[in-house]
Amino acid sequence: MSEEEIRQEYGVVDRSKKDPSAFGPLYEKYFDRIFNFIYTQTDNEDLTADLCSQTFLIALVNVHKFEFRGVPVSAWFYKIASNEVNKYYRKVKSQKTYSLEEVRLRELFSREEEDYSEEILIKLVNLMKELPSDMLEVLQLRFFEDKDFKEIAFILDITESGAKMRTYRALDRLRKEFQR
Amino acid sequence: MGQKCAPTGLWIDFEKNFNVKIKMAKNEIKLRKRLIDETTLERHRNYSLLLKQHEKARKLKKTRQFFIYSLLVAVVVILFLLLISYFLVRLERERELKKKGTKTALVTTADKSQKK
Repeated sequence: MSEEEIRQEYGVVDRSKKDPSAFGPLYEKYFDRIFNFIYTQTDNEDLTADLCSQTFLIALVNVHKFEFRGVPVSAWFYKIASNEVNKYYRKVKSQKTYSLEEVRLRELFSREEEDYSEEILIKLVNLMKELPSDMLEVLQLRFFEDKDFKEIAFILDITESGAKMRTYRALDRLRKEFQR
Repeated sequence: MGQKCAPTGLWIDFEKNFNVKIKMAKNEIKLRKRLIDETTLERHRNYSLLLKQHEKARKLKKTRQFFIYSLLVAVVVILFLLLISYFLVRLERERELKKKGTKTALVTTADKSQKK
């Protein structure tokens, strides 16, 4: 996303501060992505709908507090969504369920290697299950949502170098486990 | 849940093969053929509902703010009244004590003159 596009979106946010109905284009643009993002972490359609609606409501209620930080407005939605999902899991005290798109995973695999066996794919999923939630979250944002480190840092409320470190640690851990 | 969201064959095999591991894992990971289809997204997309919820939340926030403000004002007024009444009572007591003081002084001077 170019700087110009980001500025344009911030213009919409500024207008929404005075008139909430101006928020519409942002809602329409990002609804699908945020819904899918939440769904990948819940695997439950109704729960996702609730959390997604809550995410946009929080964004709209707090739109007057929003300031330009050099990241797309979508990063702010992702941040709220991520917080809402984590809040939900803390409340129900249950194991986090990730629902990953098989096509996307295969795409990522084929980028690295043309020929990969199903066994490797299964092994990777199995190893990913053993990763801590914060590492999985960062991998999801980086490889499934295509976010850059600046955005990941903003979403997870960590520094950019912290986001990089967490990603590389997660990848390193997966690599080591793979070689065992 | 639509057909497109059903677990894939890979996931079923995976569950079968690694049943014990699944229970021990830190997270549950499921592989789906496709996450969510357009119809499902369309069903849940409702901007007018969001605006209504926002309006409701705004009203609720304003009511809460008004209630808290009123409560604060009431507390301040009550404290102010209590403070005033405390000072009034103190003033009244001092006045009474002064009155008593003059009376006793008068009585003592009268006694002294009688003794003389």
